[in-house]
Amino acid sequence: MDIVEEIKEIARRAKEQVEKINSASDLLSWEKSVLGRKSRLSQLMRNIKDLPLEQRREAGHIANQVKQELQEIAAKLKSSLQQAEKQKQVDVTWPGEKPQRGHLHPVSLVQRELEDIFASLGFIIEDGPELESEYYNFDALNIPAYHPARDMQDTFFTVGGDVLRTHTSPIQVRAMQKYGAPLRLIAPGRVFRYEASDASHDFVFHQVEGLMIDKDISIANLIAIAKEFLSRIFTQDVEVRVRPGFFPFVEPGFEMDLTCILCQGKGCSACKRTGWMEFMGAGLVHPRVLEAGGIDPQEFSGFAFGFGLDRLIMLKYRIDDIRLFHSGDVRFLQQF
Amino acid sequence: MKVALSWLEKFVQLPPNLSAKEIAEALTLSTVEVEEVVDLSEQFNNMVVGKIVEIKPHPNADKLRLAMTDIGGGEIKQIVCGGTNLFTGMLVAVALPGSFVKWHGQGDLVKLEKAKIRGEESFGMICAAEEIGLADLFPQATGTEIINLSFLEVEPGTPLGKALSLDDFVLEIDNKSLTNRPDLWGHYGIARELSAIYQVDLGKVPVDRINIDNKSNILRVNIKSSDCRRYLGAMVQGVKVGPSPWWLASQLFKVGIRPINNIVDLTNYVMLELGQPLHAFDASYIPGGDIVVRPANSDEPFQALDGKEYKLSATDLVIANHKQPIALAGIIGGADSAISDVTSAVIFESANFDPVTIRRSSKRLGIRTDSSARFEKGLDPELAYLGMRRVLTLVSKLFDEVKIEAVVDNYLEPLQPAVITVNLDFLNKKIGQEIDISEAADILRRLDFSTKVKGKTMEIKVPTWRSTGDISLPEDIVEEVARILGYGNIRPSLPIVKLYPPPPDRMRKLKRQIKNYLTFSADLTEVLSYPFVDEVVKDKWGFNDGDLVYLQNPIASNLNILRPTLLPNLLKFLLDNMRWQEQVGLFEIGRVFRYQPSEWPRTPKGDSFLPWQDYHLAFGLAGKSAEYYLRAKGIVEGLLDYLHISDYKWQEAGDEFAVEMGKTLQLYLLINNENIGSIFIPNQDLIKAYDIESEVVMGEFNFNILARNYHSQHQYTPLPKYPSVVYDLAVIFPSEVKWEEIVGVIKSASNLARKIYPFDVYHGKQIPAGHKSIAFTIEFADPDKTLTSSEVEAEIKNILKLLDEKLGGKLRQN
Repeated sequence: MDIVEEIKEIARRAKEQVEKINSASDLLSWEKSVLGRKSRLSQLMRNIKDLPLEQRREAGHIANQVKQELQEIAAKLKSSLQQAEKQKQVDVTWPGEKPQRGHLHPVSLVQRELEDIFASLGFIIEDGPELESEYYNFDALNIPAYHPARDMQDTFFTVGGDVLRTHTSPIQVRAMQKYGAPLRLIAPGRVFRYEASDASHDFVFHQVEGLMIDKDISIANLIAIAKEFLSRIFTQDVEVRVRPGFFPFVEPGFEMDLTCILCQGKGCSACKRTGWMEFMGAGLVHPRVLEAGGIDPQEFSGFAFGFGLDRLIMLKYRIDDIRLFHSGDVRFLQQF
Repeated sequence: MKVALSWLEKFVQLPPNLSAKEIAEALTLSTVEVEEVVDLSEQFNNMVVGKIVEIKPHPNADKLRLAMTDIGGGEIKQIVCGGTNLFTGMLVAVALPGSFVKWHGQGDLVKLEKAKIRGEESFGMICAAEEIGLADLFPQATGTEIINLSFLEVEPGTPLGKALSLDDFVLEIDNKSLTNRPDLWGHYGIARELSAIYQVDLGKVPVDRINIDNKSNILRVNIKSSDCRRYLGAMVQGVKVGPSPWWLASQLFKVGIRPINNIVDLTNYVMLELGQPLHAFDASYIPGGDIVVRPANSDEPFQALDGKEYKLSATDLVIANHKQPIALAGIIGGADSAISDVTSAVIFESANFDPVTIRRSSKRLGIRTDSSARFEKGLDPELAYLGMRRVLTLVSKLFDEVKIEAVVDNYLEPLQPAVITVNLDFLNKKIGQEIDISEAADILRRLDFSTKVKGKTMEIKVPTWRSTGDISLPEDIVEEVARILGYGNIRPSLPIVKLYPPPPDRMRKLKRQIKNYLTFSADLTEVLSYPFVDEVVKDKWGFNDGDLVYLQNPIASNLNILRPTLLPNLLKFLLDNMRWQEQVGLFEIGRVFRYQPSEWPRTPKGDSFLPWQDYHLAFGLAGKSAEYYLRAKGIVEGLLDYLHISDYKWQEAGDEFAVEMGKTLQLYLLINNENIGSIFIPNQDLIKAYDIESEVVMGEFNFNILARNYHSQHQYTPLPKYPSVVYDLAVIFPSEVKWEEIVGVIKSASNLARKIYPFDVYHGKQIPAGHKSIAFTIEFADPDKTLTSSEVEAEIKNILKLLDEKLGGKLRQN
């Protein structure tokens, strides 16, 4: 056989063999047999110098080309075999190394969501004192002394005669005095009721107050805003049901129910088979409250609402005991 | 408040085929919240009236008998019965198998099965009143008496609920939702709402005429207080006190009122029907028929119907005879003048009292009655007149011999009904959609407001029962129209307003940043604790009484102080968690309270201020073995880095800032030389109290002061043009040398030393006693050129020289 043909045949066979190699040792013996000093290729290359000049040049060129090609194949295969080897040592099912982190309280988490929703609608996020005066907690909100409405909220009194605010509504009047009209704000905060605690009531809890004052604010506006933010919070379309409710600082006053999010309104034990969950009190701001806030009720009108933040969080995460919020138990808090 | 459907239907004819549930929902959507609908007949399922046809002895028991009972449909069943008052021909209440009864009136309801009692078949049982919840209607003389239904004119087999006229629905109305509606505290008021909702006529209350004679010498009423707005009295002779007839007793029973006697029951009946509380006095206790309505004398004793004696004050209003109170006006009657079996002459009272007076007395004395609950809402004085006519009408029906001897009506300043003018534009704007004015006027008319429409204006006369404070403003009219129209018929629409940007909110932004850092970088978990503490803040944390805000009415005696610091509750949380954690890190941001003036005025006058209530930030680390002090310090320093606050320093507690009680190794943080707070190790006794082995480090800072000192004006530093040279040294110092001193010396020795930080401290064999080896890194850099090694060598040499001279530091050789 022609020497060139033989070299080409060696190359073809070697390439065929290398396809089947999947271990480093096989690769080594292949290298030895194909490229080693005693290999047929080496032998032929040594013989090239004895060929006539014409043939020598062609055979030498081909032989070097083949040798280089085979060496490259070997090197490439070697590195891929090594990588495969390395990968075998990694157990990819092993748990990842998570960085240590703490946890925000669910009240902070959901409060932030609400703040962001309302901030995007141009609402101020307002704060106020937790230890309040009777004036701001009651009188300014159209709840005079000895009015039966004071009974609706059992109150903690300090020895100095102040009260732990029973709702976030006092912020309404403070904010009206601070900013004037028009005004739109929410005020999340802690509130206090002097009553026994159980799985669904605590004597310290959180409310979110909402207030919007402008020209011609209507009941239709209130319902639209309520639907909007509730749908965002629960990331599903919720229906809102409005019915009469009495709160002295609004007129008219409503209770706003929302579609029971546990049964989607079909009726379950949580909603007493009504399909509705009582969610918040609301209404149009009472003219006397606007006056207390220094705003002319002839020129401006507004809506206000207030709801329990803890209850919303409990609905959102299906938490069954409100007292967990103030338990300080890391096993609970770690879940958020 | 409970409302019986059949009672409402005496006044309104509701559309046919409405269920009680639908009626309840209509009321909820337009008027008041109905919390529950109870089907009274359910409790009498599988119970019938039976007739005893034969009584046979029980072969195996002396006290039991075999009652052969006709249960209707021609069926005679044998029922074992222990009733001592059993007789042949008696009509009895039979609970058949499948019904639910309460054994001997106690425990839970039990389902009755067909059974053998002492070997004899018993097809259900013959009931005593307490076994089927009827003890209030059939008072039992002994525990072994069964109900005698022989007074009923019904056939055996009649379902029991129907036979007793107790097959009714009761709506439970949330009293809170009635707070502003004095007119809804009786069936008639609710019926009026239904007539407006369903657009059906409202029937009149059946009453006879009465003759008022204010010059009567049989009965005289002298009102000596403006807190009594109206007082009607009626002297009635010829009553016979005894149990009420069935229609009266059963009607009260259905709405949860216990029948007492016919006179008292009548007054209660009228109250439940109309919402007007009445009272009946035994006339023999009012000599000469002279009634005085006056303020009580201070400390005047009053023996009330509830068996208790009260000491009155001058702010209480009483009804009195010539010498003493016979009733606490509008709240409770007196014991002596109460109706008894021997009463033959009665004085009925139907009056109107000031709501604030009633409420104040009722609260102060702790007496809440069905009467006070109504008066404190502000009743219509016209209702007192109707109430009197109604009770006299009923009393005449009840007794053949009755004689109404005198009726007086003392009403000096009649109530003026409110008149309100409302423009249609106003109504439309408030509701947020166009309303037809004739529809609005129609709704108001259905609620008995008289309305004159002129163009777009309605002149509205409010009925007296809504004029006592409930309705006085155009806004109140908006509510009337909108609620009857139905809030569900209002289409939601987002407001169209001018854009105005909210002011920047630095505090909230900073609070978020800090919470994020503490949580996600410092590995701390946020907690919320109740803001209450006990005396421990005085005894263990060193607060003075004068600084503390005490509660008048704490929820528990150990929650009587508003927290002046977050620390005690946070420490408790740390140690609580150590029961199931190896280590724990927590933080809280919340208000703390001290008895010093804050920036919050109590009223707009601004002449007095609420107690101080800044936000504090506290954190704590606890663990079984590790040393957390430097980690705590690092958390604070990392936070300051994160906020780019660089003008801070730490200062050990001592001369300038005292060591506070409960704290060791207290280290204050100063920003702009202002005291922000400190980190420290709580004293051992505070931890030992929890009986848990743990190392603890805590820190508490004033968040408001921190925020005040935070100015986010951070700017970038250009990147260095020339590389820095890093050099490690280990130097042996006497033990008492502090790191801060070392840094000071190095900085004074070399202008090129940019950063200096330690990485190891070593005490050990190779180090002489009383010494320590500190290994640290110095980064040298020159802003203008690349440093040569000989330049760095020279700096090192100088540093080592000065460390030796000033601090006795020697380069470590091994």
